Amino acid sequence: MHIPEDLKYTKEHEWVKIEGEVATVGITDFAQSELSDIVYIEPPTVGQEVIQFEPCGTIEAVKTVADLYSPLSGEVIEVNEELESEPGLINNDPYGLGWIFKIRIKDPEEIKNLLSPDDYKKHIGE
Amino acid sequence: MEKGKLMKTPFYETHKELNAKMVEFAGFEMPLQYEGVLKEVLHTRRSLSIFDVSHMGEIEIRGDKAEEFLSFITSNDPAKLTYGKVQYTVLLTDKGTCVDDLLVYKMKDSFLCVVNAVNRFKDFEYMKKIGEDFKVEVLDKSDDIFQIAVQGPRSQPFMEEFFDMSFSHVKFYNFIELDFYDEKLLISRTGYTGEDGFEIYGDKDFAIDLMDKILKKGAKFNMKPAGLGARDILRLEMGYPLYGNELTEEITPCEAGLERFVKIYKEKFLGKEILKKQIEGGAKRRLIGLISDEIKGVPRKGHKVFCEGENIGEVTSGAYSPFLEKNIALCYVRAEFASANEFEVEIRNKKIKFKKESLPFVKNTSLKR
Repeated sequence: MHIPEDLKYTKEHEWVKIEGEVATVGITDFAQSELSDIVYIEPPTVGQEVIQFEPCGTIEAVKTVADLYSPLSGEVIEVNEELESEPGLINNDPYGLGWIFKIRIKDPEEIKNLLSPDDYKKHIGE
Repeated sequence: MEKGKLMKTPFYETHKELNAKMVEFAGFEMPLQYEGVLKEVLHTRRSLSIFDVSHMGEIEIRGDKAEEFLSFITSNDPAKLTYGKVQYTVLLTDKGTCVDDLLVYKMKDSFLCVVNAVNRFKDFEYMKKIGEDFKVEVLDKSDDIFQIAVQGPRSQPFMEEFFDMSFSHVKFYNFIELDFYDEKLLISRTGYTGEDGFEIYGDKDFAIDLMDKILKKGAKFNMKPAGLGARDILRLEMGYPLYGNELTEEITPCEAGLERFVKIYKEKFLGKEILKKQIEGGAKRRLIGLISDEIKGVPRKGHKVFCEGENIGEVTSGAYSPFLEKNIALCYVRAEFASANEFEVEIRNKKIKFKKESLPFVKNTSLKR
């Protein structure tokens, strides 16, 4: 499983890329592989306040449906609109074109609650 | 094999080598997918796929009264079969509900019943018990037999080159027996995908060897492996019932839209009076197909179905159809609503509009009936 070194992770299998006060969120390679083909995604909406580790959307895959959790608290400033017509981007490129939403980070202190790449590796049993 | 332990088909190592994602299904460790469920569905509709379906059970019925016995316990009429013919039928309870749905192969001196993996032990015990009254022999052959399905529009050209013979005389729901590398194979023109295709049965000791040969030759025909995930969507796109979803011991074949497989003229069979009444007066609920352009969530088993604001049924199987690029569902609705056209399905607290659609959902496939 691909686990990029420059990202932080959650136990619920989201990744988060932190650039200044903006965090980009997606789901991990492990998550997309476990879910199998994703056919629909309901991300949070722009302007929505999301809370760390609380559900903020849904991911429908061929065989199952999963909640999407926010890795950090903040305001949603952008969602990946490409996913509406092409949810499979999450399967094909989970850390790139398959990003899901961006938030303005409310409390940088929360970052320390996230998993490092090594912690996440252990979490998924690799 | 023992009950309770997770079973493996002879192709377990092949699946691993092909990077399958394995899941538990009906007590077996089976491939869910290789490259991806949706890709595998489309590949089967457009080209050629191979499925390991060795988890299916095979039960042989022998004896002078084998035909009479089958006629009594199943809905269809085995007297119509001659050697080389296959029949789809339903194993009945005395209430006319479904113990299982199965294929019956008329062999030279016996009948071979191909049953759902999930029901294999149940069916065997059930048949054995009733079989005592008919003095028939009921034999569970499931552990000795492999089954693979070659499905897709390119099935016939592949089979003809692989076996170096014509298959044009093997019509839909017919089978042949042949020797191949000194091994006996049974090949029927059947399947669960709605595409043209063949199912191959043989001794499990020959399984791996045959699979290697098939995959090697298959490469020329762009054959790819497909898993249970694709198989489930393919059958749903055709409106074929799945035992455990559309068929259970609470549901009769008439409710499930399988009246054409219920031969009410037979003198005596399980549940006849109830099924006769349902055919004459209609059943209380009906299985219908629903379709929607709105891909907001996927309809799934247990989701409620509404008509004119009233909850009138529930989804038994639902999926996103990659071929139609629409959401599709099979559901039971109260009979008086079966002719309505506009429905709603409640998908995670949201009511999504669906329209009734005649089955199969996917029309004009390569299957020639």
